[in-house]
Amino acid sequence: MYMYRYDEFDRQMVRARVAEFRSQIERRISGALTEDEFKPLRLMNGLYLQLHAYMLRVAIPYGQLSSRQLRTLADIADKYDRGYGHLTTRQNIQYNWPKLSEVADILDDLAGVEMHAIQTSGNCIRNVTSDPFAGVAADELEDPRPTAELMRQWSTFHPEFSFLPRKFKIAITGSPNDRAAVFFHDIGLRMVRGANGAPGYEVIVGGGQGRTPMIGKVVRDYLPRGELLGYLEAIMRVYNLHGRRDNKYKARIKILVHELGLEQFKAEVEAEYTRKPQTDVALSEAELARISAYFALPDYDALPERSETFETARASDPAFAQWAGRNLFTHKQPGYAAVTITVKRVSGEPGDVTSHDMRAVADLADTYSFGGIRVTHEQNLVLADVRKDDLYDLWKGLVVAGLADANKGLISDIIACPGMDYCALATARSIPIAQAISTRFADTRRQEEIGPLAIKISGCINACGHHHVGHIGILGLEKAGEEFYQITLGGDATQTAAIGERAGPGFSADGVTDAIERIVEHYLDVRDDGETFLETCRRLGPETFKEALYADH
Amino acid sequence: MPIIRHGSAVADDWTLIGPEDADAALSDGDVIVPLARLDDALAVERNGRVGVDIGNDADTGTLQGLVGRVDLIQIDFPSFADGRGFSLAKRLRNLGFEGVLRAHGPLIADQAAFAESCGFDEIAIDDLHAARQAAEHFAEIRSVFATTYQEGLEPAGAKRSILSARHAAG
Repeated sequence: MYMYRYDEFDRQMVRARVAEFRSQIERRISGALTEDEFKPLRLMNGLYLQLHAYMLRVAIPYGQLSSRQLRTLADIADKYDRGYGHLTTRQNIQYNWPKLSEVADILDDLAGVEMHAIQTSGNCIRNVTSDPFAGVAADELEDPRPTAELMRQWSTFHPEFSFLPRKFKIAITGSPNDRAAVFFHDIGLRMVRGANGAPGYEVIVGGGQGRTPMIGKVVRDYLPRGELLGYLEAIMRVYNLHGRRDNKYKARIKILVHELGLEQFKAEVEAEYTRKPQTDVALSEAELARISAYFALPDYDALPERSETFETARASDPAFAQWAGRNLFTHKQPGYAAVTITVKRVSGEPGDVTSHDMRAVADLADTYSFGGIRVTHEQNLVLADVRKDDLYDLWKGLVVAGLADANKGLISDIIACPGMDYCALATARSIPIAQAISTRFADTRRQEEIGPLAIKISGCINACGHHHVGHIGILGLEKAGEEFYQITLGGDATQTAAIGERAGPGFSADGVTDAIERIVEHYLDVRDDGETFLETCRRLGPETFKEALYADH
Repeated sequence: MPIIRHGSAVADDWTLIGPEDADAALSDGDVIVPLARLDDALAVERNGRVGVDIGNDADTGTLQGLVGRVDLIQIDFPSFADGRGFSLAKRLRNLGFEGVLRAHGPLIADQAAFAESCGFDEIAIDDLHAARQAAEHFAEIRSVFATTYQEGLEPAGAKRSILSARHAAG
């Protein structure tokens, strides 16, 4: 498996954390810690108190898993939970029903496979996220994973930045085609080359969703690679000193950048950076080189780009052809493909994976993809290194496991937050809306005809379901005890970032699926040949859908 | 007020002077004065050291002016969850402050190592808080985390970060 492996230092840090958390629980029980004091500590160990129970969010650094780790996640689901977990929009997995008394044992089990729940919540630097096709994408400039790992370590138990004004999220992409939503993170990084060809980063700050969606702004066009940690530290120090602490809804760095103005913010950061860079450039480069060795290319076979086995199967089996046309991604190695396994079944709960699913995917990864799995921010799974010759066999395995839905990027590949079914903050349900839409559009030929369309559903204005960047966004609210749903149009999480615009008055839970269908039908009527939903929306403006949406209201 | 230094409770040598205290209080001993009274305290002929309390919302532009002028800087933590003081301490150390840095407020044991890493020498907690959180708790958690990943933030006693340990010559 070609991923980062812990050395003695990493193991020691995770063990120390488990010991500390056991002590924290004991001190809470003895009364040495008050509930107010204990709360941020448990949050920084990924433990939330939800509507019905505790929820434990386990970190999957930049979405990378080994088959062994995935089997452990399956075992945890069976042993401590109700046989399933939920993939999150930040490439993590969360368990909805752990008992408080067993959490330290879960953390021990995780530590056994080099995993943890560190900083998956709380006002600290969270799990760094990245492109699920990192290291294999044909369109990639450079593999972002070594940098992501460098940042994972740097941000872990950061003495200065563990009690920030608010949570802090970093994403990195190595490809100009952004699959990591870098414009919607507190810090987004794009790998670029400098004038002399030297590798570095474009640094974007102040993006985010929530109540005040904002597209991130570029603070540095080019930052030399070795300077990254020192520069991140300068940004974080400016934020920690000047970010607002009087109102949690105005405490994210996006508000600071907005209130100071980009130029003033940049000046503060550059001044802080010149004061004293903390991390020696040569040391940082040496560490990147050390980490990079873990991400060396797998033992690929030398293969022709075209696979006769694959082409023959595709020509003879329409169901396979449909799946292959939808769920494959272009690999940089000839004769290989990256495969998305969507966990967006018709009428299912988006992103939920059972222990059976997890074990089936782990087995298939061992047989066909060097034992590696990735989690995507769209709440799906990826096998990144599959020989095209093996795709038909892999697909048959997925069919047996019930994981062969051919809907990647289509209308049923919905992102949804847990909503009122689980979450204490939610104002409306999300999952039943996703289920109703995927049921309405269950016909895969119809989905194919509609083409790429990202529906994203949030059950409250905190926007965990990313509705602001959905091509169609759905926001669940509550008025006088009734759930209702606002629709936004034209959002985009990629390099052509856009925040969706509100279509007009909201719809009831019963009416929202009809509303979506009216939007889709109107799009099919007015689109030009080959035009995607987002392109049509851009060309005609969101207003074009209003008449269709509200004609009979 | 109990003082915790490197995980042990020690006596407080300093007297805290409030904004309303009489000028006579400035005349002797080791005193910590509010920022607004610092110039007065330094102007007085006196025996003893002078420290200053800068709150946690001091204008960061004033920090450089304290370096070399005072023996102690106290930074307040209005709540343990307000981590601004960690960055104030780090910036003061970066600016060259070599005197005593004191964190004052309801810090919890789990923050002891972080505070030291950022440059604090000691933590001043109030009696009520100290009654719940014994110095042993501070010592225990401090010992659990003996090192850091971050450069320039090594806890007291650790010679180097994990980063530099990995790449040490030889």
